[in-house]
Amino acid sequence: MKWPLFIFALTTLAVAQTAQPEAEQFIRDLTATDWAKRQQAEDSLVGAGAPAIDAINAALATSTDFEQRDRLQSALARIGREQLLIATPVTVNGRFERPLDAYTALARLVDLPTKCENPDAEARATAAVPVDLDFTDKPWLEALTETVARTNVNIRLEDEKLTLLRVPPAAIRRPTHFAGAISISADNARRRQATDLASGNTTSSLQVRLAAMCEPKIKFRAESMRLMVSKLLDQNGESILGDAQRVVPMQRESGGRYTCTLNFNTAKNAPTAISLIEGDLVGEIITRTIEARVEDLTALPQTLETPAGTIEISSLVRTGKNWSLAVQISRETNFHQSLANGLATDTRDGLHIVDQFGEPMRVNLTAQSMAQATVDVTFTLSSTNSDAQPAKLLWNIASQSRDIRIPFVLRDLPMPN
Amino acid sequence: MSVRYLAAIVVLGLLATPIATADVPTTQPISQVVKPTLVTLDLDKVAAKDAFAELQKRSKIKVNIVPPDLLARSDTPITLKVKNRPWLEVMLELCDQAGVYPSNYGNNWNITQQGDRRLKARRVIDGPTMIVCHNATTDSEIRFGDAAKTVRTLTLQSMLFTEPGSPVSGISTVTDVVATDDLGRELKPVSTEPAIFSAGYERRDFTIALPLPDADATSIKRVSGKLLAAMLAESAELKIPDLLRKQGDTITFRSATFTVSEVRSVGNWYQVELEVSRGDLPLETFQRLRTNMPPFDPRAENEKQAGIIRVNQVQTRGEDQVLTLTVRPQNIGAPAQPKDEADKPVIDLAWTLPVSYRHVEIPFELTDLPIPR
Repeated sequence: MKWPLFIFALTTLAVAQTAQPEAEQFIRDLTATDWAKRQQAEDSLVGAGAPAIDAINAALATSTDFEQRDRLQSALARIGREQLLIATPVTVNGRFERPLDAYTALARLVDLPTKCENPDAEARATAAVPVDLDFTDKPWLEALTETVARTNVNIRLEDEKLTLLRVPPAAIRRPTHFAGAISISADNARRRQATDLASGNTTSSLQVRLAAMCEPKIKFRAESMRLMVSKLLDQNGESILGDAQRVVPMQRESGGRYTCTLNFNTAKNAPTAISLIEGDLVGEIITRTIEARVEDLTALPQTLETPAGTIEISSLVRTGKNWSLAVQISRETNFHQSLANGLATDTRDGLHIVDQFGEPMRVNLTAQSMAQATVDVTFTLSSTNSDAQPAKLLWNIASQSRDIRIPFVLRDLPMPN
Repeated sequence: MSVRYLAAIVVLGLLATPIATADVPTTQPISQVVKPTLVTLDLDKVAAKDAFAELQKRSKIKVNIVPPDLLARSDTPITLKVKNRPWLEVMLELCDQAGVYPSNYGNNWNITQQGDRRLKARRVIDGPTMIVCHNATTDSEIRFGDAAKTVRTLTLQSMLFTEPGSPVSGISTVTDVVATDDLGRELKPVSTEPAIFSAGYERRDFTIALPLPDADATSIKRVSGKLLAAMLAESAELKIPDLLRKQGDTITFRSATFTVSEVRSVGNWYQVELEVSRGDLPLETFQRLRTNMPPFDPRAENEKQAGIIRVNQVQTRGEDQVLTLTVRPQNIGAPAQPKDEADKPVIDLAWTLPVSYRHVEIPFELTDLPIPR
């Protein structure tokens, strides 16, 4: 195989270098008597970005002024959020001999391995079909989308891998809005007409399915994502917002992919096309996790003290071919209530159980109950190996999150007739 | 013909015999298994109440009138003259004339003011069975990023009913589906799907999805096929007398075993764990222990009291199942009292369980179904 002729480089994040004394001045201005000056100082601190974080933390350790502390914490949160939403930049100039090589290079930038869905997918991905890429500081998701178009090999972004698929992408354009490390696109549009054969009445409905894709570094708290639609125009530019849902919860599908269905109340005068969908993607992204670890699951109960609270791994019982693991989490006051609520569903990313052979076991939530400060969770553990017995536990529990709001615009979606 | 050819024919015939035997289907057409109840009536302007009474008398099939005076309120005189027609057909005709609606739940047919209006849709009665196609849905879809054209599908939702006494436990397959649209084009189904409903024996739902290649067809001229279904052939009664004092006992039911592994007192009621080893119980019965006809207390004086035993939860344990029964012998609202063994009430458990099924084919044909636009 020929070595690929490419120059490959990852650019560093372009972060404004702000002098420490300047940040300290902004921090002092947070106690100014003029509200506008205090607000401007907070915005300036956020604008200074990551280099201001040390100064902010130092000030938080000593400040006793209520509003200054509040604004320092707000600035810290805003910096963290905005840093997280910055796309991983991709700079690639050159030729890859096979599609798989191009995807492997892209996936490596976000610490993901690549995997082919099946032998057919592998045959397509490893065919000697050269791929020319010429990206300079291109956001990672945009680079990935562009590579799909150039290789004609489709992909699926999953929890811990980038999967190359057997079925190729087709020609129709997928309307997409890129916003840094997140993209929002239209999946499909469906018109349904149902006739009740007893009464002869026909009802119609129209649905548009939208999807959000995130870089692997972004994890949303389960069930926190919403799509808020603020503008919706038909093919004539007339507003049809009144016919549609305005707030739509998004469901997690796999890895960094979330979807929702926008329902229209009536399809009597259903549009033949949607010329514009405008709105915001809102949700909580997890900014910190804590790690709970049990090295020997045969010796229970075990109590794990973490900064966010106490985790008691209470019992492990065999139920038929599966195992049932009972866990109680006592929440400390600093443990975000919404994270406690979504604890069980968030574990799809974070809870890893391995058996005595070192093989991962499948984890499913079977029950969850909540009291004022405790969450009781029961998981069912299963394996294809009937001799498998849970041996070790590693749990990355979300302990801090940030609200985000990402404006988006999608244009020119044809509707089915 | 030479001896060599004759020998070859004999050998081929011998080879073919076991293959032919193996190919004999294990299912039978339903018409060979169950004969419909045929009814002859000659009613001339009689009251609805009397018409239904006459139907029950002739057919010996009981339907529940809810509320009992429903038919007395109907002032529409009924005129019907039929000879040797299936019970389902006659019953539905009487309902139509009286302006009431039948509904089917479990092993029973009810006649009510509201009922199941879907039964008014396209129905085809054939002997003891009835297929009702009650909904046609057209889906048109554009998949962005996948294909540059609209994909259109027509889904037909139908239900199968049988007359009392020939209960179907579930449709396993919808097969041999052939459909033609009003332009004479044959449509091969995209999918056929039986929907297994847990409650009741008789009504079963299924869907057929057909591709709609073009937008010009306005109706489905004909759609036919076969349903493969299991039909209850024989039931037997499991009995566990004085259930609450049987902890540790194993009761043999044919070659299956039911072990009372635990009896717990919970406030004013009891929780009983029953471990079931399948033995020769049919899989259909074993898998639906929670949703089959519920266990009951035969000593109870009325229906409400009989319903004090419920299967609350089913867990798999190896090849066995563990059922959690709740037994509520008294009003849940009464204050909880500490109980000892002597305080336990005597509760007998009786449970009618299907022990054998027949597998039957039910052919169907529906015509002139509109394609929604």
